[in-house]
Amino acid sequence: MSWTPPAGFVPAPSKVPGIEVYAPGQAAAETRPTCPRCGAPAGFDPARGRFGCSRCDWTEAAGAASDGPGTFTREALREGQRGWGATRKLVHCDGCGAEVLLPEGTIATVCTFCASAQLRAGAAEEGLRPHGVLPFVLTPAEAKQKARVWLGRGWQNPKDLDRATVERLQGVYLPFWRFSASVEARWRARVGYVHRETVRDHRGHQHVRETVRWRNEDGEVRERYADVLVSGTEDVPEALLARLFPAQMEAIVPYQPELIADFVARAFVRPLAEAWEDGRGRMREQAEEACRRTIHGDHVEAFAMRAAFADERWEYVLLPVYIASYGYQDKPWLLLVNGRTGEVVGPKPVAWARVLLAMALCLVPGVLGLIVPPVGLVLLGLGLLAMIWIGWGAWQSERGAA
Amino acid sequence: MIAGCPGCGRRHAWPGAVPERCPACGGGPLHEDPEAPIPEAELAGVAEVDARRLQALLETWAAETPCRPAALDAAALARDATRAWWPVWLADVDVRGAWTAQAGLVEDVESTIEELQGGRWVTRRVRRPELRHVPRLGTVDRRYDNLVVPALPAPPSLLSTPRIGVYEADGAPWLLPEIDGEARAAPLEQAIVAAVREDLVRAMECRDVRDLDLKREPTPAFWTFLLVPVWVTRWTDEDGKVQAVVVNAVTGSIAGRRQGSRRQARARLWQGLGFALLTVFGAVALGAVGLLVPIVLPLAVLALLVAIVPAGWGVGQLQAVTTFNRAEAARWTPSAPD
Repeated sequence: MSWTPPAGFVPAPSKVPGIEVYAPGQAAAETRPTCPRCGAPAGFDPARGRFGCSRCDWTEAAGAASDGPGTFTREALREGQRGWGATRKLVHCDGCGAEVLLPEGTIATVCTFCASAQLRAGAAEEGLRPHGVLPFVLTPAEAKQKARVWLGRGWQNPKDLDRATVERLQGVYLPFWRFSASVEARWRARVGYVHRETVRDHRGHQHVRETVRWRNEDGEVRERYADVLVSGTEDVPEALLARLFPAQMEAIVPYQPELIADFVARAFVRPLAEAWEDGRGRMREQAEEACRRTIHGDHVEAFAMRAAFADERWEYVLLPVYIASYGYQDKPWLLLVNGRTGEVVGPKPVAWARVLLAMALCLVPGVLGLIVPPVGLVLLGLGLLAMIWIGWGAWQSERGAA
Repeated sequence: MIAGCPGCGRRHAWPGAVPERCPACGGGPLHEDPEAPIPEAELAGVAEVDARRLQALLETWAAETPCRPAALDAAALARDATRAWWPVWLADVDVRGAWTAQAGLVEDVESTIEELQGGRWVTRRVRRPELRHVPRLGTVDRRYDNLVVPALPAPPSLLSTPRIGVYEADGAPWLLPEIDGEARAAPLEQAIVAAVREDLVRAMECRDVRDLDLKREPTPAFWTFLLVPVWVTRWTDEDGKVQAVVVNAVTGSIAGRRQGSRRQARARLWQGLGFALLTVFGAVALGAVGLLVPIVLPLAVLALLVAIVPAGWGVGQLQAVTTFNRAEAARWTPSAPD
């Protein structure tokens, strides 16, 4: 019988003669993937969304098999599956401490994260193999265009910012831990309900009297949390990444070394157990919020809660980000582009003179309105609020949090 | 001689004279069909259950029935029992093909219980086994001998024959196969899938295998006609319906529908409620006395509580019979007992 296992399956042990078993996995590929037709280097082509040959017109759909999300076994927490399935070169940056995995044959001259030239080659990487990859859809040219549009937006930023040159744009697969779990949360609390009653004083005047009546209450909430992402790297600010992902998580495909062959892939530095602490904490807080939402009282005291986790799953996924830098007034600025949606985030220089002028203008109606005191005070208050809002927005923009 | 029963529709091959009544349902007279060919039996199970052991087995089987009706009597069942042969096909087949399945692996996972007390979260770690199904595929190239394929619709337990010998006519009739020729293909595939599934569980050392899809090359099967010795008997339920009971004379497993007596259950319910009512009356009387002699009042309360016991017992009897009868009805059809 001629039968070959589909791509992504490797032989697994069998205890019964005459029965062959294959499980999802990747045979270690020591060389870069090549085109089966002409032998030229092959890789994932974001423009076509398929594997493609660099020389001929050969293409193949991306897709592989996977055991699916992992469970929190002792072995998984300790080491998980080992090996990327392809040899990748580890480069250490002495400038920012980042460790980057490069495709074999790639020579990096500057660090993707800090643009430093203090790079040092490390040993070939053999780490936990990713479960899934969200392939790039945007080409570098498209990502650059999105970045230019983003730079030209925003009144509080310098006008000549759209002329800044986007440099060193590089597609990087960043490591993320993707968690899901069911939470059965039971809560109990003292809940106070405000009662209003109209009473008359000894002079016969009516007053509204408020009293709080307290009751011991309890309840239960069952929720399934999915797509809780925790960054596996500490080199890119998590606040920036949280604005790029989760997005299009349903498009994640099982990991194949060929998928990331032409890109830089960042290895995780935060171990699974540590990331799970973080992810579980977020689920716990969401469960607490869900419990508190079920309380309809006006006051809550002595809130206690018990959250039992079940069906916990984890996945190690690589998500596509274009990392670039642009220079403005001799200072480099970091810029991130979601490799799927094209969303751009990053800190931006602020034209503080313009911002301060706008803030000052906010106060003008209030100052003029002081001539008519009650209206003037209101306008002044509103102006102060607008001033704070503009100033806060500009400061956030400069930090990249806007 | 082949003879069919107008009552249950079963056809038997009688080595000797055809009796007047059907051994399975007691109906009759049997219609003889002298023209019908008699299949040749090749192998037969070796009977190990004699009449004495049969009664003991039937007693155990019938004793599980709540509010057992008088007609479901082991002695009567054993007395009416007649020996017969139940037809079964045995298939030898080479299985070569590819399979895909989900293997159920048991993993020892770490989970957590988080408690928020006094504004602080306390994490408690717990370990528990968890079944996770993962995709597996592969090939099978094995020979399977003596796959049991039913020749008559029957539960698998009735077809089990650990000891097989050569058939020797002993005067007992055979039931004739209703599943024959091409009709055997579907149950054979089921038997192959079941055998492969069993092997896959062993091969992968997993808890179970689900969503098994086996695509095998067409290979011929070699068939053997086997007769399983059985005891056939019957009893009549409260609705006057004859319930056939078939006992595998090799393994002693029994296929047949039991029914608890609804009449008895209702009678016990009324008995229980009657006792409860009497106790309540007693409690009321004690309460009245208690108004004069306060020390008696706790006894009145106790009597009220005691009244719950017979009432609960009565309701429990009816509930047990209803549940049992429903379960038996669900797994029993006249053609596929058990």
